[in-house]
This record gives sequence, structure tokens and C-alpha cells, in this order.
Amino acid sequence: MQVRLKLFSILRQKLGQDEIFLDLQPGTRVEDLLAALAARQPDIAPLLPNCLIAINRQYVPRNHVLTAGDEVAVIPPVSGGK
Amino acid sequence: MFRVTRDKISVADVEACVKVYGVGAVVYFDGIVRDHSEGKRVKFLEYEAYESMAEEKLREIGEDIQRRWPVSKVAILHRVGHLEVGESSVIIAVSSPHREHAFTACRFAIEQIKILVPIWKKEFWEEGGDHWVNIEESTSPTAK
Repeated sequence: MQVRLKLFSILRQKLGQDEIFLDLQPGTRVEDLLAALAARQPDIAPLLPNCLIAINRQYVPRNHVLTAGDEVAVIPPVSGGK
Repeated sequence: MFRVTRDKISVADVEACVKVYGVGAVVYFDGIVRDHSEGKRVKFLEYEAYESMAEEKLREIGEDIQRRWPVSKVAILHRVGHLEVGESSVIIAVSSPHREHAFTACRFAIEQIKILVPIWKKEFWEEGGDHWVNIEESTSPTAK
């Protein structure tokens, strides 16, 4: 299945695009998706361990299984501040 | 009212939403772009959001507050795009029958926003250079 990933902030900037398409097997977990993304885009691989994944606008754990048609977003650390 | 917007925001934008009949207190938080950050002079900021999710998360924070404390109304606005020093980036308003809960809930709201809401801040410095806050070290040049 083809999954469209939304990219933001430093990921968007480094890749020069705000989305990327990955071909994944049905049953793929979030951790597998991150590994596939790191292999495809080594420039952002070091950033991915600190990112969260949101599916359909909700944070999900690394063992969450993707479904065709999911809205998937890679969420770098948010702005924080004191 | 829970909104991410590119327009300028102010406390006046949320007053009517929270100052309803029966409340005894309204507490506002107005988050403002500072002129300095970790020893550097800030020229301006750019905020970027995953807007649809950010608005959902703001609404969830409001619902969480309603479950935790007896508050009347919650409103949160977050601005994105180019912001100058002195401009408001986030406005929170909480009303309640008694002030204690409004103070507590308003503080809770800003702390939760900083953890949960997918909004990113990029600082641009007077001396030149920039960085994504909480992602890149401010002491090293930005890797491009």
C-alpha cells in the first residue's frame, strides 16, 4: 500500500518537500515505517528517533499498525520554551 | 474557541467567548515573542503548525481542563507564520466561578500546549543565523 507522510519543520526544510510517499506492506508498524523512511532519506535519519508519529491527527506508539488511507505525519519535537 | 491563525491575535479576541454570565474570574495568558533567547538577540520568529491536528489538540486541552476543574469557558488562539518581537504568539483565556481554578487551569493549558500541540518555532537572530527551537542546538551553526 502507498502511504503519504506529512513532514514539518526541520524535516520539511531538510528534504525541501512537505510530504513523501512510501510503498509499505499491509501490517506495517510505525517502527517499520520509520526504518523505511530513514533508509530512503539518510539526511533525516538521525532526527527520526526523537520524532513522534501521528495517525489521523493522534499520537500513536511505535508498535501501532498502519492502515491504508491513514493520514500519517512525522512530528519533530514541538516548540517547548520556558 | 480553539484556533490556529496567521492573523495577529490579542486578548480582546477571546474576551467575549469566556466572559459569560455567572463567571467570577477570567485569567488570560498572553505569550509574547521575546527579544532574546539563550544569549542571542532575536530578530523575528517563524511558527509552523500541523494546523488541523494543532486545532484538535488545543480543543482536547480545553476538554481536559473542563474535566479536571470547575471552569466555565476555555479559549486558546495560537498564531503561526512570521512574528516580530513584541507580538503575541499564543492567547489563553479561562473563566470560572472562582479565581483559583481559572489560575490553575490557565497555567496547565500553556504547559500542555508546549508538550502536545504540533507547532514548531524557528528563531532568526540579529547576528545572522537561525535554528529550530528544541530541535537544533542554538550554539552551533544550523546544518543545512
